[in-house]
Amino acid sequence: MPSGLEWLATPAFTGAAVQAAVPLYLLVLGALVCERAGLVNLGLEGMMLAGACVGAAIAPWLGPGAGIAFGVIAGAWVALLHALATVQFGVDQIVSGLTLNLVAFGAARPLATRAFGASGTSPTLGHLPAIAVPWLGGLTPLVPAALLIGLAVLVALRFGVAGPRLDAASAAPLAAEGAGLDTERLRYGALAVCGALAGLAGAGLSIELVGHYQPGITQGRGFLALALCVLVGRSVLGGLVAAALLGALQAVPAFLPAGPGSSVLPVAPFLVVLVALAVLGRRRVSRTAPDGWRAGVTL
Amino acid sequence: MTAVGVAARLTGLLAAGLAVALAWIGLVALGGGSVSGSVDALAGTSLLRADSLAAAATGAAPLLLAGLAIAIGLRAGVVNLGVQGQALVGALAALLVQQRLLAPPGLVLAVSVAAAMAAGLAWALLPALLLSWRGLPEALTTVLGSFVAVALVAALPLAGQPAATSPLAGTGSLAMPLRRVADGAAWPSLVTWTVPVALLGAVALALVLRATRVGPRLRAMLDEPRAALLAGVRPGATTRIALLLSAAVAGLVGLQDTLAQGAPVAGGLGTIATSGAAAPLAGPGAAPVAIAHLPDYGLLAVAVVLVGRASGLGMVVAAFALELLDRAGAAAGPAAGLSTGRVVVLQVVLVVAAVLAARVVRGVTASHLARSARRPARKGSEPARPVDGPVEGPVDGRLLEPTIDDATEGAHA
Repeated sequence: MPSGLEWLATPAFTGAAVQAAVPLYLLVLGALVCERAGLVNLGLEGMMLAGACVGAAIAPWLGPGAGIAFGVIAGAWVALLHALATVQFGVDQIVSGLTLNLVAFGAARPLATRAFGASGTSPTLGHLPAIAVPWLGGLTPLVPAALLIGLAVLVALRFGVAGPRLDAASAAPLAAEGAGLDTERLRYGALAVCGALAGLAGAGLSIELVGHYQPGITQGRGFLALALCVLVGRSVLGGLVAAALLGALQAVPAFLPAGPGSSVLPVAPFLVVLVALAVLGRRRVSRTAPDGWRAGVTL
Repeated sequence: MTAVGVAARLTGLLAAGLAVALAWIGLVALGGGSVSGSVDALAGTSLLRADSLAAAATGAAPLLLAGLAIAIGLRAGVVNLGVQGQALVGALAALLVQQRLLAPPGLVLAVSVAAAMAAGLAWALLPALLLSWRGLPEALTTVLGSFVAVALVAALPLAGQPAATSPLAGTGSLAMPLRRVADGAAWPSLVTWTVPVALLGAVALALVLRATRVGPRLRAMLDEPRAALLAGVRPGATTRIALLLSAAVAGLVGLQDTLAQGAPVAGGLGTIATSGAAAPLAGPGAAPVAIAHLPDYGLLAVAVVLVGRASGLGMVVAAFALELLDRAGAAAGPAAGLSTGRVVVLQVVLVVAAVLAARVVRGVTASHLARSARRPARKGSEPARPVDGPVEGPVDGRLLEPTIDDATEGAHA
């Protein structure tokens, strides 16, 4: 270990890196489920913000556990709005996702000023009891929870019926309908799961990781996760590795001494993902999904 | 556009206005204020005076430019979500030119505008390359680039200060008033050069799409890629050019706010962004905004495009309406018990209502077209045509559609 970088091996840093990876991993899982269903969810950022804001507003009253639960519900609720607009009313997916982002950003502001005062920043929130893990220090219970959720998603998509059904609904909706699948319900389900995961990521971020809510707390994590999803294809494990790497990158600035270069460090995750896309990105013009990325926009 | 289309669209506009009015009533009632009192407060403001409207037009101009940037891409099926980043680097480039270039104001104007456009374009080069090399979704790569720009600009000391320190700030920029009047009493002094530039852009977009072959060819590319290929359209090059052009226009968005001097630029829609408190109706002499504190034009541009449905005239109306709503809330809100945070809700309601109304209009016009196509032609009358006049959009109302599939892209390459 070169001198000056010893902190890289300390439990403080590894623990921070693992915890920073949790919201990203949850978001990537949500994006993966949507991707499998052939859905485009540009509203991921808004869903996460809804979870973060509602969770932080509830937590002081009912405790961190209830705050996280309400954050999950808020995320799922925004996702169901997305499903209602796209599946039921035929609004374009990109239009609906972007509109929901605007709705979430617009609603979070008055909600935050009402709950936390004019600054919109909450006081420090209580968090769930930490779990002591060797080498990593005290971790939020969300870490094992995220790993378990990842396992469940992996099993459901690879070994369960959910994967093939979502594939069928995205690749050949008419054939799937003919075979007796309810594609609308599948899409609703995929979006609800995605929204719940994004809400959990948001509430976990504000309550467990940052310890308070502040305007713009999500900082583009939703879009980062969508890009990671493009990068790792359909691999749940790949998503875990990518989220862990980016989590470590996000944890670095807090451990570096403040210097002239340190203010540029928040750029790193976005820059790394852009470069990784340029180097590793596969050609992904959608062949199967009729609602793929290149599906244009119907205003 | 058919008569039914016009009627449906006007009804949609009315419905969106009604939704905003209802939201106003609901917000005032929730805040414990009196609805009639809030209407009186609204009537008591100077919002509809000529100088206020001129100031609102100036506030709306960057919004219109930002909306235009996204719309240019959308017409070719490209989603440019990186407007904020492109606006930031554009403003930075223009600021550097203004500070370093010692030249007559006219030259400074030309060079700074060109530098802003070039910087915005350069910021979209990587997304454009990734799009054509790898087919990676430009919606994501541009938004990632935008976050990079935001973080970089926040770290630059130059971007943290208003441009007023520059001896040349305000001269020869788009932020310069159309006509300088000594005390700023006459209203044209409130209107910056950005207003005619943005309006010209909107007119140019509408004209190019309607009066030249570009519009039909783009639509063909999106609806029938193979047919368009035979007609000589090159989908890969077209999408690349659209993305770069979109980014170049986005580079102009930040100029008015950051290079202002003696121009009313502060506040306005800044309340939707994180930049801070709502400014009062800005009068002449408003201070320039530091680049790092630019309003979030990325979000606002999306709002303008959604309300204006990516059409030139529609976005002029949308940008003005969004800006006016913000000013109405700021002017009458305190008296009506509306905090600035809640005024944003009105804008969001407008966007949601416009999106839903557009969906309903699409359904109504589509079913009308289907019915008129089914109706048997009467003897002696013209056969029923599905669409009369220039085609506004494909029959099912879809404006933009899957672009390049592998076959067309491969053939083009």
